Amino acid sequence: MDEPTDADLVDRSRRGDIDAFAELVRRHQDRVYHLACRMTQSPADAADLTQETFLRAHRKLHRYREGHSVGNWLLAMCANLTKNMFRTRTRQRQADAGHAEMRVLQAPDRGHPDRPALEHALARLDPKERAAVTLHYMEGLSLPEVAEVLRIGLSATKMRVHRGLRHMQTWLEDRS
Amino acid sequence: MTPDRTTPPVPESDPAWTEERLREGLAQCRIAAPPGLADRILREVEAAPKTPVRTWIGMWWPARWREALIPALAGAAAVWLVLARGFPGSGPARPDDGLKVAFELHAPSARSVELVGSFTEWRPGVLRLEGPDATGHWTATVTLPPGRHEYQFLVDGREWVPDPLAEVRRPDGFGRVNAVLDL
Repeated sequence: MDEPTDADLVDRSRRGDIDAFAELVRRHQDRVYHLACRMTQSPADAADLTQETFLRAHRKLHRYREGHSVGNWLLAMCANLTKNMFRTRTRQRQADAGHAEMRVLQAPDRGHPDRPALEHALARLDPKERAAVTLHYMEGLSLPEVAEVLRIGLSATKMRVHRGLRHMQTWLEDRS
Repeated sequence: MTPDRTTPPVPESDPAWTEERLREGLAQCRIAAPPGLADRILREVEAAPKTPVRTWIGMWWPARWREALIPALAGAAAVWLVLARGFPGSGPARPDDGLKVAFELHAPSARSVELVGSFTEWRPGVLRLEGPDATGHWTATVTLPPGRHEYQFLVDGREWVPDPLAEVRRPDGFGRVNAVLDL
């Protein structure tokens, strides 16, 4: 039997089929969590944002437009929630000028030999550039798709991807 | 490697960290969701209040028609209102069909209390109660159309509380209890 498409699962979820929605969560949780993790550099925040993304998606299933990528729809929702979280925290911390910090995500013991260096370079990136680099180079989205997910123009997307990569190259060269 | 035409060119000042090496390395740095996250999400989804009206509409209205239907229905509603009430100045105005309902919750230590129900499409952040007053009560007066309404209070944005003053209550199917109001 053919595996149901994402659109089929959305349709069944709209009719109250919780198993169909569970399958959507299983299919897309890694991508959503990864984007949130890269944007926030915090696994705990990323888990909360992933949960909130799927809760919101479940409430707004009626707003999903047929023909669009379900994965990109979820990523866009996650990016928007993350931006809102940044705004709220910025307001809360306006009085605290020294709160800026660079958090490097813990790399696994075994993995790609470049990973520790890449994690440091990613952590130094501006969050906007990091989100664009993550979506284009790590999640494999085309530049127009990245623009759609981040709700920015195509030229701004190209600039963020280009600058992000150039910054990473510069830091990695200095490091080596 | 085949060059990606959509990707901006990157200056290759140092061959040690070429775009290709970066791209390959980054592809290996993906982070998977922690075990148990999907179960946690599904528990929250099943515990969340339903949005029956919007879900029902979304189920039966094809997405490509929805944008055209909403203005069309708004126009039809405007025509109906004009015909039902008569043109301005042609007769006495009818009294408003809405009924004012006062809601009250005693929660002296709460930082915020919201009213969430079928009339807000179960969306928080729409109706906030004022308070607490000197006796710890939060209050709001809301105009509601005739019919059956279900609701709960949302305290501090996370705790769902059924109205202790409600005469009728019913389980919401997710382990909580809705207050029922028939107007």
